[in-house]
Amino acid sequence: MSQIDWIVLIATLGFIVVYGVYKSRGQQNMDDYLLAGRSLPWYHVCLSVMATQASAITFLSAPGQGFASGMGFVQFYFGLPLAMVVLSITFVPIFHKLKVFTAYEFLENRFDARVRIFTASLFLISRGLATGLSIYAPSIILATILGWDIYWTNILMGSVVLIYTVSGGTKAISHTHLQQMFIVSAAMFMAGWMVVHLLPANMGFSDALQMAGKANRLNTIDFHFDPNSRYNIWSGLIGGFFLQLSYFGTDQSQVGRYLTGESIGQSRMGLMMNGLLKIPMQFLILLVGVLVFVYYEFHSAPIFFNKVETDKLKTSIYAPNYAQLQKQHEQLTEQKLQIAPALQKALAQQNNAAIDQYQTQIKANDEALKGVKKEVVALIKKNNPSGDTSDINYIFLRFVLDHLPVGLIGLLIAVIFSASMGSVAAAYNSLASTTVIDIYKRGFRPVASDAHYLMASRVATVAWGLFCIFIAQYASKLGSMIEAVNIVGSLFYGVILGIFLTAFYAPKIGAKATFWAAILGEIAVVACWYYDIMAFLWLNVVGCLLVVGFAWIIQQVNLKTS
Amino acid sequence: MASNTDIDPRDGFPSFVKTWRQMYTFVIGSLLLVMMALYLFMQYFK
Repeated sequence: MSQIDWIVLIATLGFIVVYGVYKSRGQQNMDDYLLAGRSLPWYHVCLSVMATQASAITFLSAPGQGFASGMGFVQFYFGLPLAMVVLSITFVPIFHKLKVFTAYEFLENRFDARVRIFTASLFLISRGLATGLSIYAPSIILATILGWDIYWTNILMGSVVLIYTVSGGTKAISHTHLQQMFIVSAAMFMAGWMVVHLLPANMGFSDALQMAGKANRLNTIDFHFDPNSRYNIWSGLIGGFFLQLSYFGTDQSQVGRYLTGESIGQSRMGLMMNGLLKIPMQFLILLVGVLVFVYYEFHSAPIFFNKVETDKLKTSIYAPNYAQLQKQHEQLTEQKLQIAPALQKALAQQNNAAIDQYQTQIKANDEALKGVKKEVVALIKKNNPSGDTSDINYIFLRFVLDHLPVGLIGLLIAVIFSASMGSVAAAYNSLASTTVIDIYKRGFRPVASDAHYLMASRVATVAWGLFCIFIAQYASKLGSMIEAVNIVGSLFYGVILGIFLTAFYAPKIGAKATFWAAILGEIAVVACWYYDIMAFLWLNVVGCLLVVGFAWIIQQVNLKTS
Repeated sequence: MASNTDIDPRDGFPSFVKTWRQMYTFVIGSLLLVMMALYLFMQYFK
């Protein structure tokens, strides 16, 4: 990175930290510190909810997805507006009326302390580990591409955010979310504009879309119901709905955001706007990736975007095989560089016969390039079984560093930091609030002054920050940590959702039945995972259904015996 | 259970809706429109 990029990066991050600390000075009690005094308008709630969900990986991975497989990923968010409506009708009014700090407080009100503490503990374990990963995932990409030390990148990524999270609490987080979303949106728009600017001189935005459409990259909707296909309209609407409902309804990092609304109406409106804006936002991020794909139709692209892995191959016993594949890649690239301008010309002349001919050729060329890449990935795996065999997260950043002008590079690196800070800050805050409200205050120190709990919240924030940075450092030494934490999340998430759905929709089921159902459900989920009965994503659905089912059965047995 | 969709005052409402029920209908209607727009977008450039 050039000096100007460093200045842009440091100035952007410095501004966010100083602004957050300045806007949130004078916190006096827990209501101020943990829920911003429940005083924020809907647009704060909306942007805060969006910034919490959009992690750094969103801005690295989504353009890569657009480049590699097109726009299909947008369907993943189709269930989100439906989840926002259900949350607004059910969860928001109850949480507001009870004036709870955390979602788990409500569980004591509805059931008893056992259910509350059990659920809060499940959240702390899964969110603590996942936040460590949220720090590690973008750090490893930045460290790999920019040659930074992963140890210091993790510390930088996890600690800058601690400054304003500890000092200003939720108010600082909400105010910085506003700045972060503005910076992220502006920088992504500029990046998209620059990609179009870098296309051949006679090619505009609409021409680029025509080209992308012919290469099957604008595949936004897939109506086919196929359980093996990851993204189609049905998995987006049904699977996405359950996933978003459990994330926004039971994960304190999101619940803590919309509880900052000054009224039920403001919280609801923030969620409604999130429901309206999320799909268009994700569409535009994917579109940037699609435009990068069009750019590489006219220019030579790397065979694999993570250069560290291909450099390792070059010095391994597989070097001759890799050289052979590189030769094939070069030949296919030469073909591509002839087909793309010919297709562009045919599109401009609206020559349908030629368009069909070149479209077939460009698709065949694309498949052949993917085939070569597949063989490179197989070589990487053979050479280093714990090597990173997916380059999706590296595509956009590699493009940014290789082709975007000085200054914009610094700004886009700042985007990655900002996005990471947005989600990590909310996670630290939610971990601290759950620890203090649901564990410390409930179990150890029910009566103390506001100043005492405020200090406890700050100490808990620092402690969780250090824990998450530690997990991030440890993750760098364990190749399969990412999958391990995803599995840990799936082990708990379904059970937590099952407890909340029982609380909301089964008023006749009591605390005892729900508590034992949760325990049994958790044991069953762990057994399903241990005996490898199903893919781990299905554990969410099974956990949820088992808790509701067991709770109902235990309640019936209880009624009969009493 | 809070299943009533019109329980709180009109704070936060945009001017084109009168009840929360209308707002929810608007959000779900927008989702359908977005899905339709995305489908037409895909077909147009296919």
